[in-house]
Amino acid sequence: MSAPIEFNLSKEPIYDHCFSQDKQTVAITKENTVEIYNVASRAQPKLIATLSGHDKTVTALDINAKGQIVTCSQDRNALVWDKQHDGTYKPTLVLLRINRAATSVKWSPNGEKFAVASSARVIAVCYFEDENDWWISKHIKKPLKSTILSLDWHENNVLLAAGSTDGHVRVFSAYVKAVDKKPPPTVWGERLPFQTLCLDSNLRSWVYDVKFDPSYQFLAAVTQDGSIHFIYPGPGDQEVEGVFTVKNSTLPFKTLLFVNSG
Amino acid sequence: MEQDWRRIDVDAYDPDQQYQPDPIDVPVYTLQALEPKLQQIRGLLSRGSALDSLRLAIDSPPYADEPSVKKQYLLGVLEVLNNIKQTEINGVIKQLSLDEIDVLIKFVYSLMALKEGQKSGGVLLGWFDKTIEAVGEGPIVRYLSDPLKL
Repeated sequence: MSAPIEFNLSKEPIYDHCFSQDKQTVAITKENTVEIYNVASRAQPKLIATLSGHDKTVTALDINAKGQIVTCSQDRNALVWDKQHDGTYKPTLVLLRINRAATSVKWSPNGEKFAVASSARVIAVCYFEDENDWWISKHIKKPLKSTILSLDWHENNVLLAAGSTDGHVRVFSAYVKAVDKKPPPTVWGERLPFQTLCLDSNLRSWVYDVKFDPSYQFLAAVTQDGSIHFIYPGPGDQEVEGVFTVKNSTLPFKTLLFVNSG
Repeated sequence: MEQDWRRIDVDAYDPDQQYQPDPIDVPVYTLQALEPKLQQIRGLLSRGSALDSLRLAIDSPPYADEPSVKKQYLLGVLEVLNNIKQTEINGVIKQLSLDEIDVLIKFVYSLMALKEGQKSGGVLLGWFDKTIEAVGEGPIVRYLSDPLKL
């Protein structure tokens, strides 16, 4: 295994980071701001932009294929940053209408929508409304009972997996009529109006991270009790065909990533 | 005047937002139903099969019962733990599965909270130390995060 490449970019904790499409730049959170570094030269990362706009700690950020950056923060807001011709970024405020901190944010694969997870027991799915020239949020509330810590989008831009501190992993439909076309049926369900619950699995301890596998046939989750779970959906409505758990003897994992589909 | 207004639990005043934890799906035993099991555990112990006695105690403990029932059960387990010699502990641990060790650590923590358990503090700490050394910190994390508690 080759040695990892280390970038020493900050003395403060980095809550989240994201590489650009071409992997030449990386954006990291730094307290109330986001810093963007050019890391083409590994030995000398160069700071190329600082995005200040949040009043409290930035908890998560994501970059879509168009290069738009979305950041969310403990100040209960999300900002969408568009790159201007002179290299600076202009923020647009998104009214999430949540009354607690935002914990995580993810662009959908086509970059038209993004979902924000929060401690307000709500997932805010946001899309851009052209006529009013602003971002609107729609809430997924039921049956979330506690803080949502992690999100992952399905490739069809409609299904959204969420891991929460109430111990459940859920798959919702985040279908927005204004922006999405009706998706073809998948193992997760057929009729998918907004907020449909496609899967609900109780893993009994805080779910730190959840991811679809590269073929989008099942889910993997890591929880506070130090295990990795694999959840397979069944053919019926909200049916769970099987949950495989791999118990671990180390301290719990915080994130997980599928490296290849092999 | 409320000095500590930052620490008011705002959600407690909101009727919509009360957190309801998931129901525990484990059978409730009564003390009478547990008596024969506890007798069996004591029997196996007196006959010298300490490992089987411990295995029986670990199998389906009364997670959903009243604290008084749980206490009687835990005292039975304490007898078993006390009667296994320090030198034999490592051998016993090697023969238990990871799931059984998780329950064993739960027993040790719950016993440490009881006065009777604290009297055998040294023994309990010996069990805890040797188990975690052999297996890792997994059982501690699972004790903290598991909704099924003794």
